[in-house]
Amino acid sequence: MTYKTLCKVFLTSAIATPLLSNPVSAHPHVWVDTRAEVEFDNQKRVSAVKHSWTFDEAFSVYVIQGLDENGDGIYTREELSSLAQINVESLADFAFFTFMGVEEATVDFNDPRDYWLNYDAKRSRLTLNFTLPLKQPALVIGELVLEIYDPEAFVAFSVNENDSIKLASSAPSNCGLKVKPAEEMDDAFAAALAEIPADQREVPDDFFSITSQLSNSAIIQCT
Amino acid sequence: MHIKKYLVAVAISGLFVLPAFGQSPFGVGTPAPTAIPTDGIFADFFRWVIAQQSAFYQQLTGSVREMKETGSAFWTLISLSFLYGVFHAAGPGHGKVVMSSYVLANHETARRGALLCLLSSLLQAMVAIVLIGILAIVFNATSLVISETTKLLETASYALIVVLGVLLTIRAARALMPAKSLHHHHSHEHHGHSHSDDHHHHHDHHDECGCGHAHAPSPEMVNKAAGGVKAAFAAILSVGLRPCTGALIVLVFALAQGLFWAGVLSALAMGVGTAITVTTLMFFAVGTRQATLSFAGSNVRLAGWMLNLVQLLGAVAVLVLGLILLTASLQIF
Repeated sequence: MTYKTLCKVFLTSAIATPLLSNPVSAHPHVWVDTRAEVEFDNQKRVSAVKHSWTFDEAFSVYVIQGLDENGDGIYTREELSSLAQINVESLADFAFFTFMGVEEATVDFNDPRDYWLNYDAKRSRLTLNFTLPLKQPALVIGELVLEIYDPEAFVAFSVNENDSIKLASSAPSNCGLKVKPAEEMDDAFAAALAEIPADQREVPDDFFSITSQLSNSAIIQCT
Repeated sequence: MHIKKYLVAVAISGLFVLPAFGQSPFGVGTPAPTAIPTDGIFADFFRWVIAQQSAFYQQLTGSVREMKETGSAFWTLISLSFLYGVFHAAGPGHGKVVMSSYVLANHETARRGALLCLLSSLLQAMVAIVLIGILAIVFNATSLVISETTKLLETASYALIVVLGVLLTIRAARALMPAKSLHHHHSHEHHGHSHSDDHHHHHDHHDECGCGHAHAPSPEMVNKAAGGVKAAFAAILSVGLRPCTGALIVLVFALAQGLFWAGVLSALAMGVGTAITVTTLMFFAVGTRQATLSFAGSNVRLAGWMLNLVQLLGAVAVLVLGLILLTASLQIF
């Protein structure tokens, strides 16, 4: 690209940007009651995060529309399997809203396994279950932080109970977990959040304090 | 030609401002794409609007459920839907940009602009109702099919914005051509159009003359003669074709409660709420134009030139918006 074209592009972008920049899909459109368990392997390393996310009523009812194939009024795991597949495939582009690490160092995850949906007809709530294995199981030295949140605030993850995020039974007895739920989003905070471009996962340092408010974090500690 | 170069640059820049766009993290329930600054001086306002909108949305589904038990929730539902519409339209979105720019670019009167806003908002509600009526009720289609269809409509709507932008830009560029007196220009345009277009415009433009735009009759007449039904149609369709996700979800939710009609009324109330906000913003656009006119004072030539410039800006805004939205939307496919 020539210098001239670059200039032109830059200028036009400058015009277009105020119009269209940061298309943050910022309104929470989906609300999730978050539950998660941290699993360990037999070498006392963190090996996976087992999620169980319950969607809000309207979203639940909307997404299961038409999936009761035999029309018996019951949405079975089989009938919902294609939707579960699409859910986890789409979530891959959003890093499964799951972030784990110690300060700057973050762990990578493999593709999810054991994913399925179940529908609680009584409460009209749909729950997405999936297990996210760590690429490299991590030994907890000191502490390891797990965060579940959407930096773009399209999905509002909430941790309703203290044991919503917990260690699985496979956890060694010298490890514990402390939950720090996200703080309620106030308008000023949301405004500051909007300054972060939508395509940017890593948040600038100044914003760290802000996003950590939004994040449901769990601190895993082993002695 | 300048315009051509500009278009190329615009198209390229469209690729640059392509972030994670309009994609749902769960693959279904297409989120409403946002297309207005969420940064800058209005950020706080938009955040507030969005917070209000979510609050109404959550109460809305609650009130549909309540209606199953008691009919008294009816007015709650209607008012919540209306408020959701008002706030939804005040938040980021392309509808009001298209409408305001169209009104600027087309020298529409406020009254006609308001009618266009109402029609496009009601069309948007009707599209949601018909979509759910056909897909969910008749075919018992899945939410995936509904989302895919919405995406198609969305792309079509963006393509229409581009068409509208091109129509308006060509016209605006023509009107800005120098070395012709306004008067000649006027009659020239007029003749050109009596060859190619229908007679309808002549009536319109007499109406306009009587409507108190006496400051600069010539450009008004030119644009009215050239403008008219085709562009207005494109404007209504481009805004109304894409159903709002909130309406779709409420309709499906109401359907599942066996109260589809409640969903229909809710969607229509949302449409009226949306129309009110879009109209209010459109009035600002008209106000800008009037201010331009009074700035030029009694200098007819200057007034005409400035009007044409405003028109070109409006037209280019529509075109840029359309190109960016369309490119972004096609990327997802």
